[in-house]
Amino acid sequence: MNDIATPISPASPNIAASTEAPIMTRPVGELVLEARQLDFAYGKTQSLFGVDLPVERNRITALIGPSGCGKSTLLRALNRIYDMYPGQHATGRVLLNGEDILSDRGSVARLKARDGDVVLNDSGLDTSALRARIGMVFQKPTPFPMSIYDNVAFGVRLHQKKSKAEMDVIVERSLKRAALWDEVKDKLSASGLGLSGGQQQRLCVARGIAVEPEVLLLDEPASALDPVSTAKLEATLMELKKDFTIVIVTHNLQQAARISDHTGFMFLGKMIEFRPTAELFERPQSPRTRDYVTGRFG
Amino acid sequence: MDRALRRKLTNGVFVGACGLATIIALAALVLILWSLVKEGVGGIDANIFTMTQPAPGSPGGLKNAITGSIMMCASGMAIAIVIGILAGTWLAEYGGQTPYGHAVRFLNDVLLSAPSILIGLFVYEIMVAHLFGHFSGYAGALALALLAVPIVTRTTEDMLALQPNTLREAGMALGAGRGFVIRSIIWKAASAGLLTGGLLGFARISGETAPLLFTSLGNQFFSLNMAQPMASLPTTIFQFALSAYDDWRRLAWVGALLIAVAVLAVNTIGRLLARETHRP
Repeated sequence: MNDIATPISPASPNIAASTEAPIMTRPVGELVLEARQLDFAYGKTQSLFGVDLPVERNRITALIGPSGCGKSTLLRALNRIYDMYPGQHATGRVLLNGEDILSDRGSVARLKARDGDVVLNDSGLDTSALRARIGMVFQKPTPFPMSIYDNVAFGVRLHQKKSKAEMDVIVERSLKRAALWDEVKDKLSASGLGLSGGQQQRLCVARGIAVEPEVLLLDEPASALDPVSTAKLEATLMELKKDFTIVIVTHNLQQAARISDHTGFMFLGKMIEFRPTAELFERPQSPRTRDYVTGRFG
Repeated sequence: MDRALRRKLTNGVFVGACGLATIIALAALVLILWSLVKEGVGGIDANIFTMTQPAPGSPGGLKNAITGSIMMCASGMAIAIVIGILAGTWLAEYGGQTPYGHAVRFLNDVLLSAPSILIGLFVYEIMVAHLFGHFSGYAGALALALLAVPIVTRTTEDMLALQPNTLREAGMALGAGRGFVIRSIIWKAASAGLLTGGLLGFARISGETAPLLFTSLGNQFFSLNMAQPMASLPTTIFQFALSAYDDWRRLAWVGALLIAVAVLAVNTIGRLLARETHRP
């Protein structure tokens, strides 16, 4: 993949110039989720540096960039899934409908130490309530060791008491939206582990949307899938953006170009360029973005 | 000698050595099982299960020993599974990397290979000598539990550590708390492994004699009272096999065969169950 055309080394002048301001074209529509000046650290190693990410409602936002650039880290900061690992810290503001979700004591203390006295608009969401509103699908399919039905119902049962009939409706609707219903409707009580990789991933999507989140985060959801399954998953996502807002991390540039409305190119923990997808791919403004989308490095 | 031939020869010698070692190990196992069956099967009749142990020369069976063994093994395993699974879960999911966690793991590994007679003496000192003042089925069950706990703990930790982190993240990404994810997803995903831990523990304690001699002692009468001395198959075998009477020695063989069959049966059923629940 490293094409030698632009050798990457710490001494490279390209890197030294990376202090330049990001090239941002902010979406005109309503923002459902927004990261502002977000830093992230794995212990002592900082891996995000002042990243801004606006996410427009009912659109697909793609994050691209070479491995290790911080795409997944940014995604994991948005629903605070990093919380389960001690030593991982996000500092900055993440707004869900204008309300701060990084409002726990530690995050606020770090933010004040960095930026001085900042006034937060606390959302008051704990991580459980937060994750009900910001769902996540992972790179490798992660069906739970239970039936297809119970997989989809799992998240709903955590947050609401539903009758069997109501749950049946939710499970069917979620599987239909994830374009999996026709393939599994006769074996809902079979184990989710028996499905193919592509079906498992759509099951995870169905499980994620069953709780009706506002935002669905997808971390390279198609990288373990064959082209046919990938195409099905992409069609599903295009359909889902009518009801949900989607943020997707992908290594597949064609995939970002095919399905997303906005694309952010990240490099070495910084947002380099964030613009409408067509513009970013056809007329990249940063030389690094140009090199990446034309395949000169990556 | 050219290289291809040398490789072929080396390979042949190595495979041959492996095969020979396997045959030796299997031969020992087959001989044990064979002598068990040969000496034991002949003595099996209805009396074994319906009569208690006899005086030399009169008819009798192993009813008291079988019941005692089942009761003490079952209660021992119940204690061991609860403590072992919780401890193993704590090591794998919560405190395993803390200094205290490392200490617990180290001591557990020491206990794993502790001589069972020491465990028997320990329980004797606490329960028989002080707490109860006499031998009892409870003391026997506790001694067996202490033997099985390290096995269940170790296996549980190993099996939970095998579960991918993404599975935990996926559960938490839906808004579930850590404890709930462990109970409803991780334990389920590792269920076959947890069962294996239980089976290994059971196999270890089912034939233990030394700790029972110090704790439950034995009882020639039928008793369901665990607060009193209790018979068990291993102690009965120990007593009968060393005796000078042919009918007692025959009963000892039958008892040994029963233990072997029970371990085999529990293992097989466990494996079948695990395969059944894990079939996609």
